[in-house]
Amino acid sequence: MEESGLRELQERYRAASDSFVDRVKKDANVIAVIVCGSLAYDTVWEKSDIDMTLIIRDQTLQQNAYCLDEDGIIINVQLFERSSFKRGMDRLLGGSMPQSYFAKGQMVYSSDDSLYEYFDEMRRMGTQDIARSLLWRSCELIDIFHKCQKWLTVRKDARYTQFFLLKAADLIAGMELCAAGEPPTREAVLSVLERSPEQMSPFYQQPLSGPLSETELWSAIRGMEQVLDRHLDAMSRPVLDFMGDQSLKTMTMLTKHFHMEGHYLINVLEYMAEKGIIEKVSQTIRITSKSKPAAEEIGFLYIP
Amino acid sequence: MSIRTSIEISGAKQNNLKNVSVEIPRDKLTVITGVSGSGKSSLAFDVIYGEGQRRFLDSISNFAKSRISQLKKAKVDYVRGLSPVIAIEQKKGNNNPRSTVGTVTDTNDYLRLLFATAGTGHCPECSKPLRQLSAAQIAEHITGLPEGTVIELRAPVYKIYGEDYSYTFQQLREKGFKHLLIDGEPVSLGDELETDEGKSHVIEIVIDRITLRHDTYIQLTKSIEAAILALDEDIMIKVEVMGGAPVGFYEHFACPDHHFFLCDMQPFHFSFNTPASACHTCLGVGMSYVVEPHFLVVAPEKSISRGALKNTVFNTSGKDSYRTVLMYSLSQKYNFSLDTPFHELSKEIHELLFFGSRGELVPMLQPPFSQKKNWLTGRDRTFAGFVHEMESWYKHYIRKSSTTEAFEPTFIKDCMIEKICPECSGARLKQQRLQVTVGGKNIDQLSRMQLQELLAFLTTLRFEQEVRDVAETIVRELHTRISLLIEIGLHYINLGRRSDSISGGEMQRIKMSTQISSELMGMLYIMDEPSIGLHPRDSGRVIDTMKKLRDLGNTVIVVEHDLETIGCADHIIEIGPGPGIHGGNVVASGTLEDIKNAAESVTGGYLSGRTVIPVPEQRRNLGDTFLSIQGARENNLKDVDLDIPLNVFICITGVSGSGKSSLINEILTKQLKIDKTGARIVAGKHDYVFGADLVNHVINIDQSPIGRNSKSNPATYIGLYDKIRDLFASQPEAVERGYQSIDFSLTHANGTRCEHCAGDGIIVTSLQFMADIETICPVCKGNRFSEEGLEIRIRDKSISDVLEMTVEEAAEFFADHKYLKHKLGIMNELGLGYLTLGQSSTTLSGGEAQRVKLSNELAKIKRGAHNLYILDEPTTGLHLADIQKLLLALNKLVDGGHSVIVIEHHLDVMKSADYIIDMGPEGGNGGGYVVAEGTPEQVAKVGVSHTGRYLRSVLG
Repeated sequence: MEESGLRELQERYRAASDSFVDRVKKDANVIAVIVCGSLAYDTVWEKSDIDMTLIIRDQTLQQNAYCLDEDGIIINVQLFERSSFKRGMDRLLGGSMPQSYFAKGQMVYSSDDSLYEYFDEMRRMGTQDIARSLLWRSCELIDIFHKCQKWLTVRKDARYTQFFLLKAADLIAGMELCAAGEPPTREAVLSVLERSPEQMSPFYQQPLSGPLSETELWSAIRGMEQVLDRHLDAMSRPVLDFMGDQSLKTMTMLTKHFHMEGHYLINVLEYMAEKGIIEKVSQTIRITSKSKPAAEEIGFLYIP
Repeated sequence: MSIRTSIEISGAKQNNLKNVSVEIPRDKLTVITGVSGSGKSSLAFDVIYGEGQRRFLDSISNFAKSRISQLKKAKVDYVRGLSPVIAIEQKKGNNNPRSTVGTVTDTNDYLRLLFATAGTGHCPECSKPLRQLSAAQIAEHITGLPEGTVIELRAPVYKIYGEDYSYTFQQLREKGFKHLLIDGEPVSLGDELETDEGKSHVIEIVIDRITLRHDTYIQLTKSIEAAILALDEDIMIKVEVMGGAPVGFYEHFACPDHHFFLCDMQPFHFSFNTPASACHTCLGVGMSYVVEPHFLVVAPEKSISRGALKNTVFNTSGKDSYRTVLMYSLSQKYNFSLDTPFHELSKEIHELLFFGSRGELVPMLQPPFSQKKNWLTGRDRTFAGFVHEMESWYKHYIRKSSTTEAFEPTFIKDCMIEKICPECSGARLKQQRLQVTVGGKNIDQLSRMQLQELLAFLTTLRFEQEVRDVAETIVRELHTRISLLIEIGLHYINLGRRSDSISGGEMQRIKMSTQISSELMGMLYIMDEPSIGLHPRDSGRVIDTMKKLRDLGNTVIVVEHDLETIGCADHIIEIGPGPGIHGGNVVASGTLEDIKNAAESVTGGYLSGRTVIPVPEQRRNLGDTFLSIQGARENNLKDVDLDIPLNVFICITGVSGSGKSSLINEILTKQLKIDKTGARIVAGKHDYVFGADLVNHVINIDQSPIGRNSKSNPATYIGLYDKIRDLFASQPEAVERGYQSIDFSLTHANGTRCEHCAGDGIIVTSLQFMADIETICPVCKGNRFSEEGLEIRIRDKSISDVLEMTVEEAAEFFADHKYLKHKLGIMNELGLGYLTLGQSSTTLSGGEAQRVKLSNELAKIKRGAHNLYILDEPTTGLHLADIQKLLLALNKLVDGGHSVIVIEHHLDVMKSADYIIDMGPEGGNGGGYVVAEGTPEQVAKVGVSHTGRYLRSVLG
């Protein structure tokens, strides 16, 4: 589409949004309006819709989503009561998908000035949220890191290994943005590519450019490890905080604490153990209350 | 039509009743008596109550009926003149730890209502009184501020008990609170926070921030309501006006210094069964679990390296494990050997292992026997101790999370015991709820008061004008209920007392009091031995209560043996004359005089003095062996030191709540069991129990069923059945067919039992909304065995015939078999001759089960063995004639070289004892001392002893 056509389209979408917002402003039940998605931070095209969140005065809502029409444009509206919106937002981990979605949004109207302040603050990723986000992203990255090695050494399938590198690209980009305190969006790879193309090259440009040699693949795999090591301090912090009392923590305790699946979480814990930060140990347990034979549950120990 | 003046029962054939027809006068107090097993309960409960309930249920919908467990239809031709019937049985308190005297009597509901209505809150910072306001009232007051004012709704946060700040913060974040003020500084939970665990930080959460406008009132009201909900139903909220509040804004509404508002209170805010109101640590139970150090030691005679400790604490098989490194390093630093038996290690080492190095760093060393270098080696670490470690694990495991459910891991729970909750100290509610008071006391303080004290407190209460009418109505209701409980002899208990610590008798009296308070008339009440568990001093109160129920216009039928109750009845029916097949007839019926004069009435004999339980001519002399309890302090015991003579018959007496059970069941029995068998239980508070080596076994004989399985019976319990099976299996025809002893077992499939009914002899058909129906098994015709099995015969009797024999008949049939004759002979002597060998254990009365257990013990008497038998209120459900048999059995045990301790109120048992230990003088706080001890004659001379006073009357 031509530049002028695009500009025209933007204006049409903006006008539709404004006219809808002007209408809902007259409704005392609507306290605030947030525009999210392409219209808020990107470029719309002819198939785009408008994502909008309305904050409603506390009441029992009969429906919490509508698909509306404004000047032939689809507006997907989500409704939140003020109190539950606040509780929901406060609960969101900075760097998670929904937090990133709202962080890129714009509050275009509010009858309560305090909400503008609140919304602005919501975009910020705190240091704890950054560390936690890095932790769960690195769990997934370690999973891919292992898969790449397996497909290259055991399955001897260079193409599929290369495919895994592409999968890793999104995670790595997300980690880099998180580490910089920026909530990652679906365009994370492009964002990082713009700032430091050489960082994304082994996982994005090179795998897209054509088949990679085994040496290049191994180099990319080592690059993945370097990414992990670069963020090791930050991603380890939540784990070490939890384990700081120097008592053994079994996987049951760790998964409960981090609200994560054990098979993911153990990736990062084993990685930390391999790096000598923590020690992998075990604890004798009984699998069921009636079980006679003992079983050994994996646990970890940290002595500062 | 004339009003029916009696309940007419015709042709009752339930259990052993022999076509009984009887009339019971309405609106009167009728006692049904008779020896144990005579059929009195069958008449009262199965026939009268069963029919009454069945007919009442007929009037409700089939849907409702299908959800009620119904009694079987009684075998009776007809019962006429029934009213709605309520049975008040002797059931022990509910085992649910949440059930208390307050909840059972519904008194807690009124108490909670009183606090919700007339409670005064207090500022958590300065305790200034706060008045209750609804969310709307608070919002209205706030919206009086100028437009554009910014206000913040905040709430105080306290560190979760036993947890660190980071866990408290994590919990807040999960609830949806990210913005806090710590010591006045705004922080975000999205950031890593520096907090000092040793410091008590002042923390507040920012729930919402609102800029006031003309239309904010509704949102503000809703925001306050939503905040309260999100805060787990908190009742305090703080309102901060940003930039400072106008002068007087908080006056009369909130704490002027700390800005706390007390929100609307509801009764559930004071209910420990509402998760939001319950203490966070014990979840409203008042007790929480802690690790008991001695449970971590499984074999104290072994060394640590040989497995002295539980394998979940220290697994000896892991030579290279971190625990091996830790244990080795501890042994090096603190200089003890891992090869010394655990019980020979010093107390300091035990303390070290259980409770840790108390902050001291322990260098981790490489054990010489370890094959690989451990990561720990070379580091210094503190050791928190296995007790702390396990408790910390427990805390983590019971946390709920989105990915894993909370569960109590058995490997930790095994090592734990219940202790008073360290956070709420047994108050069961969260701290905030205890800041609400009525008359200066919080709800927990009222729940801990003895009823007498509580009643006195309630009468002193004065209320503010605005709540006076409502509050006084509630207090009146409380007054009535508590007075009734006191009148019925329960003055010593408190509303917070757990139901599972209440005896069957106490529970029955509690239920009686709730019935009286209902003030219904025209009802039919059926009670089971209400005098049980009552000291003679208090039994008069129960009789008065029954009379009160009668005088309200109700019919009261009581199954009772107590002569005093019988003496007060308007009408008496005796079922008998003997137990089982020897009973089932109406022996006598009429007034007290009629019964006294009825020559064939056993009860009449005792009532008229024709029959008496004689005072022993001679009491046994005390020997020189004693069990000694030192410093007993459990419950209300006042640091009691006591010597209990052995080889004699001892009776522990005292009014209800005087501390008898605490002394004997909680301390003596438990400590002896720990000493003798290493039982994994914790005895009540005391210093020492000496003399465990003087007894071989400690045996409790209670009235609990001897088996819960329909296939267990007296023969299997006593062990007779094994011999009988052997006899059948050794018959030539059985040998020829290859039968073994086990093939004659009712529990063994693929033997000779009938497989259609699985050896029950009956088939139970479930009829949805009708009561279950039992029919004789069509295959075995009720014989319980297959045709092939029945073909094996001993002197023409099949195994089924033998199971149908009474003990008397069997004793004669097996006269030439020494073992069987001996055991059956003892059962006969104890008056169990009427029981059939195959009678299901579930059909035995408590008294019968007790005697089966006693005969089992008597049959095992060995020369030189010295057991201690402990019986708690063994006369429950026993007629005087049965008590005579019980005394016979107990004396036989003592004569056989054993010791018997009986906790009892029955004067005939007291007077028959060799030695009495009387606790008291009163129940509850007024008790806990040994008031008198010695022979009954000696105790009778002690003026302050209530027991002594009553003993004088029976000792003459």
